[in-house]
Amino acid sequence: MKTLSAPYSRVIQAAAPAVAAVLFSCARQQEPGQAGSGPRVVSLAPNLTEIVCAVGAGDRLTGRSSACNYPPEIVGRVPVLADFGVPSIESLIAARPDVVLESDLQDKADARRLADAGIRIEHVECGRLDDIPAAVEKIGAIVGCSEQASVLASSLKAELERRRSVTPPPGPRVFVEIWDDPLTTAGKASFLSEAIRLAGGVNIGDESAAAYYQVSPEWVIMKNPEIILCFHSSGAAADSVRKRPGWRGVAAVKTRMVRDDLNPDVLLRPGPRIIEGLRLLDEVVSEARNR
Amino acid sequence: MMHARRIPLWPFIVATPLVLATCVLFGPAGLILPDGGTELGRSILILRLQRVAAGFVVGAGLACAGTVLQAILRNPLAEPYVLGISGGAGLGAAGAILTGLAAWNVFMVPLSAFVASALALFAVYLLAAWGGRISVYGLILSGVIVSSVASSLLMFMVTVTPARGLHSVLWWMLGNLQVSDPALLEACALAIFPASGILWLMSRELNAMTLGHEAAHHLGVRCAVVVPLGLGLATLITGAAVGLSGMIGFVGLVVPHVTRTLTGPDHRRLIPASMLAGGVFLALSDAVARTVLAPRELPVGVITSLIGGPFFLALLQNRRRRGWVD
Repeated sequence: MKTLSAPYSRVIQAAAPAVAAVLFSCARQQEPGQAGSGPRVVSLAPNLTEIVCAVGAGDRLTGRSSACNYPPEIVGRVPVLADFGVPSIESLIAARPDVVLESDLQDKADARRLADAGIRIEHVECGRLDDIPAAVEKIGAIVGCSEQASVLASSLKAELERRRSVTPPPGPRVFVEIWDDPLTTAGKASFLSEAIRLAGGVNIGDESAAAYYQVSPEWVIMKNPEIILCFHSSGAAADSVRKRPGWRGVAAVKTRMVRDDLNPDVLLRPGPRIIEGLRLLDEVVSEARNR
Repeated sequence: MMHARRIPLWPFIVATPLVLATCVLFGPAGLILPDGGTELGRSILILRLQRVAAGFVVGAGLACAGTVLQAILRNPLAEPYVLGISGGAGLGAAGAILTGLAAWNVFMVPLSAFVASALALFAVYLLAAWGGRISVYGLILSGVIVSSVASSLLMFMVTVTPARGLHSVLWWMLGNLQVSDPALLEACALAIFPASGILWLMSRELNAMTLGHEAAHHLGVRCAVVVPLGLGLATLITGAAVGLSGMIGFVGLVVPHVTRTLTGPDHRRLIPASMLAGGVFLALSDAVARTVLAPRELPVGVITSLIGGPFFLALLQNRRRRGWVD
């Protein structure tokens, strides 16, 4: 249906118009609410839920995590059977899914518990940008939408390739503020760091090989970032950064490049909307270049 | 107790400014003093000075509270957190963070930590006084009870609230010396140093207390005044320290013991010496915490325990060899 494909229109525009036709036809075949021909799927992570819906298998979702909030018109009808990465084993057994998708279980032993209960559980790796097209293909194969999945995956791959082939001049220094107390940033192992690089920015957190870690304000001030991206307390973070002791001299604060309006669901989720996220980063980086 | 040699107070007084000055040099970029000529350099220098100052104030306060509690409770395991103060403070701070009060004003976390720790001490005192005279055992046992009730309540809050504030609560519980507002540092220093001064003036009474409350009574010490006053001031100090920097373990337990072996048990010398040692120890631990894995920052409580643990063990071993029996 139209409602099914609409949320992905931006991704589709970004990728290739051809995807739209495929997605649209897939969506039309599977009227929401009707049982599809594929397996019953439970997703334990918001990015996996987005991928399941993007390959046109939204109607096969029989359960989701409490963190899955997109696309709203699909997840609204899907019962919550878990927290992010924390399945409720009993609810899962009662829901009789054919397959459970997870990317990051908090307790790795849950995978064995589910398997012991006779539930097929599939781990989908989503740590790096390149994992996203692979995840799309894998999920497409699992839910029986391989055709649409491979179109989406190759358009994602093409977009990543295109961005890698052009090397923009060394761009502005970016500080990613995942959380403010304690001050937590994204390091080299995070996919956000890759995304920033592809958008032409330099993530100052790349100094550590870790994915996410705590830093001191002193270090941030020393690095003097030209862009600060806050992914917490949206709307209020820019103001609070300005008021912190010692931060007034930081370039990003001076040029008002402290951004707290970027949607964390788009940028912190390794899913199909990352293309949209990369475009948001492009805009921020070019804005900083012009200041 | 036997002591080979007693160190006077002056080496502590001389060493403190030297070590603190060295701590100011430690930063995520290594041993470099930031350039005071640029705006950013000045900001960094101010942040670092505040951090070293906070380390000294908190460390000195915790060491003083630990020394006094060890004397009054006559227990080698007594430390600033033994009377339920940590449990109460943790509950107060977590409450402020998880209910969103913390976002409203920077003073809310320290204030609620402080109020909750005072309430916890009050509860401990009431429990200990239940049905008769307050005894040391009664105080310690009710401290344990109040602490465990407080930590269960804390666990309950942590389980039922969404995960977003959780990180802040955990980090806070491990201790952090980054000052959110210089006014907070001033307020805590203004609580900690005068209270420590009064405790130091009570040194003779504290010396007598170490012999036991009965012996102290016969030496003319009014225990009914000294005990509540000492406990109250130690709570005031601990509450202020916890409010400023979260729960930093080991300083209040180890530093008084180590200092006692160096200077002897006379509180007239022991209190100032352990305050200086505690302040220097914490400032140094924090310098290590922000340097060793830079740009990663470690919780300072991890460093104090990592350094303090083996040090304490070595000390105990040394004492045992010298035939120390309590």
